[in-house]
Amino acid sequence: MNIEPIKRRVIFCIAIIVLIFMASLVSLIVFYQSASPGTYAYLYQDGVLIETITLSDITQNYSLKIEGTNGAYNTIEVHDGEIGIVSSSCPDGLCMNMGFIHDDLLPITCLPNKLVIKVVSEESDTANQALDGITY
Amino acid sequence: MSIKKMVTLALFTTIALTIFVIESALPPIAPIPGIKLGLANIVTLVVLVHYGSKDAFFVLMLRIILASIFAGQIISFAYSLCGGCLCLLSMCICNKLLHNKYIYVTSIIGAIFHNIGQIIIACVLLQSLSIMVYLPILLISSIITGLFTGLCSHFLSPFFSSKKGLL
Repeated sequence: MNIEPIKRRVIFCIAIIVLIFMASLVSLIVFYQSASPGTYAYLYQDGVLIETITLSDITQNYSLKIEGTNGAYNTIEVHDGEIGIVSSSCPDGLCMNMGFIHDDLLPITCLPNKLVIKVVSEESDTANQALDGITY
Repeated sequence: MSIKKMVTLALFTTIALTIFVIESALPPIAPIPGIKLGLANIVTLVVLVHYGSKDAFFVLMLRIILASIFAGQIISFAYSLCGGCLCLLSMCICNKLLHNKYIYVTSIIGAIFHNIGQIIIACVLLQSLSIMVYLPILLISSIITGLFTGLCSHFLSPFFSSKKGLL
């Protein structure tokens, strides 16, 4: 062919990059459409489920403080149908900028304090709960 | 390694460290962990193109170690290490394929793998796979920032070629 081998590789690389870009865009749009408003919020500290909060029957806003190691803390506020971090000891403060989440599109994470807040739409019975029974 | 080369690589490390420290003081653009301009990759890419992968590895390791001592908590060392090593590996492979040309393509691929590496280490440290949801947004932002840093390296790189006699 008239295209030299290096130009062929460049076009191949650019094609891969465009493919990744399109796949990310499509998956974002699909996620956004299928984001369902959540009823339960799971709080994970260091990968361990520490709290389950029911978001649907909150009559009064309340806040709770999650303590970690070395004086690390995150203050979480729960409103009717949404949950968010209002103050934190982490140095970057990204978790506070994330605001309040009310659907399962994106979790709130505080990476320095290893806290993950996930909203799920119905009680999921995957790895979060223990085995009910084993068959042989 | 000659004295001249050692001093030049040390200068590159200093420049990369300064860029990294200044960039980490900028306010975050989006509330998603991991989106950053990654301007220190400009230096890594220039060293890779002009000096080879081993010297680029030295500069990268030195910059990561010094940066985590100067301007961050010790946990950012793990994130930068994983992302940076994966980034350098992918850029070496891509550079070999493209024969030191088309630097912006190499830079985009490096940025993509940098963010993939950071997500993987975040999943390992937080022990939950729910962080993977951030991957599409991070990939899109890494393509854009990789293109920007790649263009910067592309315009910067001719100044360091041996013909110009600057090094």
